[in-house]
Amino acid sequence: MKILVAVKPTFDIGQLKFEKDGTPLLDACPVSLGEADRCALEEAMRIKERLGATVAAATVGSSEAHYKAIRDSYAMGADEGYLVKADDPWKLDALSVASAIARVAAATGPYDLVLTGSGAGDTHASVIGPMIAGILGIPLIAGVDRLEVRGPGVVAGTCKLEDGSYTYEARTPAVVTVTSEANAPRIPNLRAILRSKGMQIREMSAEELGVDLRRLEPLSVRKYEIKRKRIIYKAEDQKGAAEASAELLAALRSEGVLS
Amino acid sequence: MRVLAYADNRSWAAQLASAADALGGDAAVFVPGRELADDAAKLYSEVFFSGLGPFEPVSYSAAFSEAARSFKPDLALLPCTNKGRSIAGLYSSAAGIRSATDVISLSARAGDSSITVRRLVYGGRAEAEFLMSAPAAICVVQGSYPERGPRGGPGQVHEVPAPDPASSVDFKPKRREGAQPEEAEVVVVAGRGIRSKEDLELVKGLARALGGAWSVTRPLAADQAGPTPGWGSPGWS
Repeated sequence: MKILVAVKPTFDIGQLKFEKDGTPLLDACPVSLGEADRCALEEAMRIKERLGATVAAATVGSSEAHYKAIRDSYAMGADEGYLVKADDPWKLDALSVASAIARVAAATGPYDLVLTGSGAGDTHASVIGPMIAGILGIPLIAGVDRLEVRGPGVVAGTCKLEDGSYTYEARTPAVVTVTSEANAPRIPNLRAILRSKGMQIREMSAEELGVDLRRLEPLSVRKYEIKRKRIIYKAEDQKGAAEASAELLAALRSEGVLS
Repeated sequence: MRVLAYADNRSWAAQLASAADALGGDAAVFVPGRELADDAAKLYSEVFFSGLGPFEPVSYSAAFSEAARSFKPDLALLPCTNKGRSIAGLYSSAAGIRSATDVISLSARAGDSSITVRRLVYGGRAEAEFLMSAPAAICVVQGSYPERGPRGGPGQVHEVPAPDPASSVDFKPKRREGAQPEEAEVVVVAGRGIRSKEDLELVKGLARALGGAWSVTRPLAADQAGPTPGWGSPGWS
């Protein structure tokens, strides 16, 4: 079995600070391999240990954090690591990233499974996995809490969605996105970390893969604040309460809270 | 601007009708069943539906794409839910178009096909403004637009053949215990002051006493402490 895990470093948003004018201080924010991506790697390692598999990790971006994401994947047990070189990777649009990962899969595969985290802790767009499946034209199981290889060429995943629990069974090759609820990812020991530093990361260029890496430049990024209106509708008696309620309802309608 | 929405319930159909109104132009919707199609025809000039089974992303996306081939939208609007994100990713990759999720407002620029998009980033702690050109697929956060009332005259309803699912599906509906946040008149919400899951019992007790529902804010939702997966995160809060 051959498994490709798409990984990406993410900002630790719990430690994100802002300038007084609301500009995020990204340079001061720690970056590490995303939690859901770690869980995807852990699922790959468990399949490798149980059934035997070659596990490759791939990322798109040339920052030090991207190289570290592949080294962290090696430390967790990945056998191969691919890095698609791209400057300013945080501004790449999702379809470009998904296209690059799909091209890596085509160039270094075939893979039975393409795994990735169900969403990054910072952007949490959750579209990379679906896009990879769309580009490769293979089944998608998105948001898996429990992953199971049921036999040769058959994979099953259970997902909690808005209206209930779904268990999907698909033929491989398939794309599976894994939530941070799926498992407790292993913590690599010192020996594995040291070994990972000596492992080769295969760099690939967008040109080599034939993919156009497009960026989506934001016009502005500011701290998101919901400002309280601090309006109090006072009522002294029952009649006043009825009037205050009517005023409150009118205000909620005018703000678009109620239709 | 021509807008094709995806909605799997009445509330989303009405919210995305409002979002489409804000952009101007013609609006149609795709829904995954005949019953919802008749309701949606009160809100949209055209409705596409498919007799689809339980949610399976590849077949749902293929049916939505089929509706898009017929309607030729500039913009696809979808709910910012797990299902909406999956369909948006599959649809935008099939169509080769850009997508944006966690969108809280949209406005069309006069004279060209550009859309100004405001979206939540960095786990909802910041908002970013982008200029995107149509065509694009956009996932809108729940509550960003109010539910719109019916328009005049029922819209035209078209059936789209249901594609075969790419995976077999075993669906177990969520067991409903007490009032649900999306339906309750009173919602008691726990925030970061709650230190343990045991303390949530106080919140649940108060919700029961008030005949309402309980939920959690984003930091607790991230720990899956809420009553429903997704509540407290973008698209649900």
